[in-house]
Amino acid sequence: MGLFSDLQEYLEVARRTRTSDDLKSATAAFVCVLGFDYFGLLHHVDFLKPPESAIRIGNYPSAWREIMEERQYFGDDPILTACQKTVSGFQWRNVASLVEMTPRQREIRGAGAEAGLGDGYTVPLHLPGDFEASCSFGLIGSRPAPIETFPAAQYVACFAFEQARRLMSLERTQGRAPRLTQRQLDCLVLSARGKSASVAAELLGISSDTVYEHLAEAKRRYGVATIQQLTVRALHDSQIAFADLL
Amino acid sequence: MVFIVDSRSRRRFQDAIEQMHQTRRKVFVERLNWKLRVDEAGREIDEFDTADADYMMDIDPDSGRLLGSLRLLPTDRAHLLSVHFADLCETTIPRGEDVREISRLVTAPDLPRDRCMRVRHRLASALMEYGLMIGLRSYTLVTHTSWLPTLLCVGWTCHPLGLPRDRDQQSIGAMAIEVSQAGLTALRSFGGRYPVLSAPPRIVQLQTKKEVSYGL
Repeated sequence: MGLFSDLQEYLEVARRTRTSDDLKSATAAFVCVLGFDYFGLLHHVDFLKPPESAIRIGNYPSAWREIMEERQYFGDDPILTACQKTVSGFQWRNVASLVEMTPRQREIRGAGAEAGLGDGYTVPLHLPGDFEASCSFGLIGSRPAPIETFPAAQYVACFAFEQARRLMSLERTQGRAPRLTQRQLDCLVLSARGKSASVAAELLGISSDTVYEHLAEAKRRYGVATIQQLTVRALHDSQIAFADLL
Repeated sequence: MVFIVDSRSRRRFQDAIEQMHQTRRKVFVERLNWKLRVDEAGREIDEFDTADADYMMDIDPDSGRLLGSLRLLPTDRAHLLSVHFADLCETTIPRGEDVREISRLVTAPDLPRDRCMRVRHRLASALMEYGLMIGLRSYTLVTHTSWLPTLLCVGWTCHPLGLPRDRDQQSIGAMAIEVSQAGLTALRSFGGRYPVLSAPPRIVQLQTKKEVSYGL
């Protein structure tokens, strides 16, 4: 029961995260509870030119990340190749039973060991219509892998992946909306409350021309022509709230 | 269009029910090699396909072809989770009048992948609509862990009922899906914005009555 209630608690925390950084810290902490040292949740895409929507969250040792990038190991990593051969989680030390390893792949495993990486466990994440993905849980040094927590790791992989997908789509839609500066918002709120440019200028302690400039720039950012359109768009994006205007 | 096939409407859907049992054989027995019983007419039918079982069916309105289906079992009596998979639950099995168990979710085997995803999505939306309509708290189901990303990606909230276990060399686990307006909103923001569920017969009757009284 202990491990399962820990898992439930993690899932609840993960579900409430609002940024990928929060998801990363929550997952990194729980991965230690499972007896691993680090994790990596990623879409299997070209990491040198990742598509905008690609997920890549984790806390792999930075020394190893540098080696991976420098020697461009990602495309050939036998662990990622193995994910195409199975739908079930697998332990790294059994990877040779899934992939017939090329010399380059043996080199990658060797380099990992040299950099201090130990055994680990990877859960392939197959989702129709999305990139191939996986979540890996790794050890540093020669400690045996915590086999008893593999089932919990499977759920961490699936739920963290789903949460990462939701956060990614959230961050992308937010990224698309133009941001207004505080001064632009001040001017917008006052005009939406029915204040003329000169009154707004007086309240803000700036000139009327500057008020006009702020509003013109805000309209330009949204690509709209009138204050009414700007007000509706800014309300819709939650940049201002009804409470600001009433 | 998704239809609820219950004990009252079963007669109207005889053809679709036949298609469903044949599809279940093709997919579960022939493709996935599940060890299930098949009757002499080639239907996959088990001990839970009784008068107590309701079905949800996505039917092409033009051709009458069954695109996808699932089974809903009441949980206040014996159902899959309580009979065959109780070991997957570390919490008490959610049961009662406001909990239904989903099983035998299947899509027509020859559908192209994107169409298949749309059917699954329609069924998921229909589950939420139906659950809200009749006041369910949650659905339970047993799933292969490898299928979990697909189950989660429609946008509703799932809670594991225990850790997954290996059965026949495959990892499976029990889940509860929350029925909520937020779940339906999430589903609709991913897929279509409109209701997918054809009103079940008793609700159609209610509406007809109303119209009559307005007429008077």
